Amino acid sequence: MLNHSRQNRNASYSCHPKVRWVVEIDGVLLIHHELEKKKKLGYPEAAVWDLATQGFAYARMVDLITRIASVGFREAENIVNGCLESLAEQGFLQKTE
Amino acid sequence: MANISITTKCNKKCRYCFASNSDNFMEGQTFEQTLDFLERSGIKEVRILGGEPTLHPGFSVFVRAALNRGFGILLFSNGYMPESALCFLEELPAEKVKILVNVVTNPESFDGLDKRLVSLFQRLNTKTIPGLNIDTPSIQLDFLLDIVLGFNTMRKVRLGLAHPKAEGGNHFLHPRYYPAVGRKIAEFSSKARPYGVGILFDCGFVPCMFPESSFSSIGPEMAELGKRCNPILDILPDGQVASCFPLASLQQEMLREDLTDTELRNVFSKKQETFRSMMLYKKCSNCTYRQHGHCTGGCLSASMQRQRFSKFTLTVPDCQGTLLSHFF
Ligand code: SF4
Ligand code: SF4
Repeated sequence: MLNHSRQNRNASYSCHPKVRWVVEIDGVLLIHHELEKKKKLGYPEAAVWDLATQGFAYARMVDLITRIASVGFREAENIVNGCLESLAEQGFLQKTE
Repeated sequence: MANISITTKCNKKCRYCFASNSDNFMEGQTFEQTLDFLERSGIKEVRILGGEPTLHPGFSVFVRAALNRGFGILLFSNGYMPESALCFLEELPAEKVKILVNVVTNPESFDGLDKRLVSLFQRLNTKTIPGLNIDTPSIQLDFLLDIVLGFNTMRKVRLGLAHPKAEGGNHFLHPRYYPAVGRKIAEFSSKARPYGVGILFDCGFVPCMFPESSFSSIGPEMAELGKRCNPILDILPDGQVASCFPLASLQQEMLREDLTDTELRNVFSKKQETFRSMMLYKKCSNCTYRQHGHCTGGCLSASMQRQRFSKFTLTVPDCQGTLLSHFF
């Protein structure tokens, strides 16, 4: 897995205003109404999305991901950062630095 | 199949209705264009609805025009039609005209049926099919069987579910109530079958709402029930076409002279591809009915009501690694 922990310095990620999501048993389905595309997030990425929508701060989110995914801090950071970067690249999140 | 809404005007105020109850009337030329469209699509039946279609000043002219071109008529009415429309329909041959009467006031029993509806069923009897749009789990259905047997209507009843508009704003039957409604339909079906009375199901019914023990009494329709969320093609009074009324805000297409129903359906299906992964319940993703091809996940418009949105922003601090090691 890529180490994203240094890529996201001073970055903010916000939900694209045209993105909606649906919670499923096996993850979260994102729907981009403007780009007309969808993306299914399995776990633990679905948990990252869920925690972000609930307004959890980054540090707390990484802490929770360590428990949800049973991984160490670095790995949890990588999961969170990788997920944020990838969703920003695909237009589901808007990134500002 | 395609439905033609010739007016949004109505004389009732059903809380689940998609129409705006305004004086929108389809023009004669647009109606002719829709008949051309049906003809080149090989569709033999004109499905006329509203609002209350009999309130259109050109109602009888439209019906005559369709009959003269060899179409059969399926009319959707609330039954509260002007006397002139009632007389006109009385005169038409039963083999060419069917009238789905949506009983908008769900009476507790047959005795509670409004006098005007009693008169309509008496006069149009064998041309009619009584029906109900279900917008609450506290429905009574037995009166429908009484209507069929008491007035000698066609041996069918039509049931519809009140679906939400994609953009929201109308009253609808929440999918959490579907199992309660399914049980009532199953009971009704077991009473109706011995009289040879079957159920015509509109779109959006799903297998998981019915007790499995009732599948055989519901009949062969059961196999197809969960696969009925497809572009219906609802043609609006201004000649625009929507996939169906609830999805009208997502996309509308002009009724172009070169398009057939199949081509239009493909246009809508393509647009809906992104949304089709949304399904009625969380449990749909693991559902065996879906895995075996018996259900596609219910009404798309109802499924879209599950969408969430929030304006979250997550800030990733510039010293994240260090901060974290202190934090823990
Ligand atoms: S796919 Fe969903 S709506 Fe369809 S039967 Fe299964 S659980 Fe019910
Ligand atoms: S979205 Fe599907 S089930 Fe719902 S009203 Fe339209 S065609 Fe019917």
